[in-house]
Amino acid sequence: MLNLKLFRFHRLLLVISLSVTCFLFNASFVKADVIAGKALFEANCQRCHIMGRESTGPNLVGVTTRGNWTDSTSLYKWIKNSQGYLASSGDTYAAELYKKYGSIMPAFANLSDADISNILMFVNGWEPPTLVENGGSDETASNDNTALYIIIIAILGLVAFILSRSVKQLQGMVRQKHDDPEPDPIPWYKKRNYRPIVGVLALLLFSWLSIAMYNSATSLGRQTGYAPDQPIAFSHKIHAGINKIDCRYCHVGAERGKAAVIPSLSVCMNCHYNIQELSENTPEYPKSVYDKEIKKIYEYAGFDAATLKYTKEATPIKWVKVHNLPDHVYFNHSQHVKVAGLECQSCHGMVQEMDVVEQVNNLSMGWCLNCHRQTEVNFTNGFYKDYEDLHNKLESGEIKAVHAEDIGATDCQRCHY
Amino acid sequence: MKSAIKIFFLSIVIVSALQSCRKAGGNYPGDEYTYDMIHSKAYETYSLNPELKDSVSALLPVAGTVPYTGNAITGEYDAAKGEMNLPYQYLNTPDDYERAGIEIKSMLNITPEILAEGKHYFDIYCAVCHGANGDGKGYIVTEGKYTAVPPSYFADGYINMSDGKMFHSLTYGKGAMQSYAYALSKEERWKVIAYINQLQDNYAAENKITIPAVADSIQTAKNNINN
Repeated sequence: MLNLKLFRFHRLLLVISLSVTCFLFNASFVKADVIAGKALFEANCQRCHIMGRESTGPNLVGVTTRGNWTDSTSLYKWIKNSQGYLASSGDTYAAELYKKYGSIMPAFANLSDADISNILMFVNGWEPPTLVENGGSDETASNDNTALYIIIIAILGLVAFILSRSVKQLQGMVRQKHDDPEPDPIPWYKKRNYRPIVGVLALLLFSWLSIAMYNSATSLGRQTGYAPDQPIAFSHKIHAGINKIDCRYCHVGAERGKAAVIPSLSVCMNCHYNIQELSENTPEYPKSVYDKEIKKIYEYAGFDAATLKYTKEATPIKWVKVHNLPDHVYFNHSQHVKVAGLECQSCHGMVQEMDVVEQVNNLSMGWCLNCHRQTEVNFTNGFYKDYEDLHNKLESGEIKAVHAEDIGATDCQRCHY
Repeated sequence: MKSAIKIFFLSIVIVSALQSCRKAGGNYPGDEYTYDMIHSKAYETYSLNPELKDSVSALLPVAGTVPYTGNAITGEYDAAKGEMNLPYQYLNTPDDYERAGIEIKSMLNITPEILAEGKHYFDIYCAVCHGANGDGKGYIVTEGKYTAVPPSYFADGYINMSDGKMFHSLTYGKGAMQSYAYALSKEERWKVIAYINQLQDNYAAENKITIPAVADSIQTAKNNINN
């Protein structure tokens, strides 16, 4: 009798656990596709396509309902090899797009069909962000699903345990009824029939453990997601996004040297000499909050806003550096911005959409190398011309050998930097 | 079998230990190891240096420092470039503004490359207020964010402004405009000026007007000040 009661209780537990698991799976896996699509979109598309408005490329809202893109095979072909598609298909809609935007989309041969499908899922599910008073958004709940997976696995384990217990109890009850002898004492998992199942389970467990170990070990010492508060609530979104001020207006070093340069107070004062308060009061940027932040610049600069005179001595603002590289890495901004012609967003993400700057890429060595493997060298810049000249002189016999000095090895900066 | 179970539990322990490390987010830069390989012992550009004023390690060059303008590889030296980068001799006064307008001229040999470079800097530093065409309708001005509307380069008194005055304004600032010496070297300022002149010439050609000559004597300049 007692056994039967226990059995009913187990059955109830089982039903509850299964339904919770189904719900969690449902919730997490739909999200996973869109999250993957968002990441791919940010990495590949966002440099030209901005969701919700025209940019270098068209606004992608409703892209799968326009022109030839209703046919997904042609859209996929276009994304993978836009130039090839334009030449071979004779698609007039695509030709029109090319005409309208004046440049053709680069080929994304590296995207698989699944990747493109994820991106389109993100694009089609995109909704414009809603304005929230005082920025109190609950989107801060992290995208880290580890806790969710642990809960799911725990529940599944519980289900398996309950099932096995119930089966045993049922077997016992049956045996009692028929006065059967005890079954053989070899446990089920040692039986020949179960070996493949045990093997697959062990393999899955091993893979999961390895992945979890790898992910958690590599994230140690990396600062993805670091978004510190600054002494002044400076919003890149207002300055670079809404007001469209070029990044290099303030970060003057980006084209010229190793550091992009955190601007000095005088750069703030270029505009805030005149702009002493917000031009409009919006729920996103309430004047009551942001006007005070502008006043902070004047305190640091020793500036009297009423008379437009510098009355006190200035003290520098102690901005908190967000993107940090280890001491053993040499990184030069000008080599990337000036020579390679990279956009700031390629490494720093969409800073013009951030109120608080956050590190979006992990700045790991593998991340750097990925780009270095794909980037083609531009031989037309002056650096290679000097080598070419030396090569020509060597061939014509004008010089006998190229010494290290000829390629700048005696420059002071070769050793003293 | 026993050893497999041991490995299993050991990996669970390792994974949990690694998982317990705090990831970066908000004000926390994340847990790290090998601290001394990550953080420089030497003072870096933006690190605090308690030995210096305001603890700022990024110091300005000594006043009057002249940048090296020769070619580092070939050693070729361009005298005009060198002279262009000498310290600016005029003071931030209205008198010197007029003097600069008469006395200093660009030493650049204007080429399409120089104009392209000038446009590059103009688009970054100037166009946001002065407009990409120089008509004074920059983005933050037309959007009503910046209330000090700059003049059009084509207005009377601006279309024939001398290069020297423009250079003086770029160096010290003028009106609501602040100094751009922080961003543009002297050579780069002259390149921007060359581009502005091109904009003005194009405007004059399009609208079929002749640009009046620049005032060319100290006396006229003084009269202008007195008026």
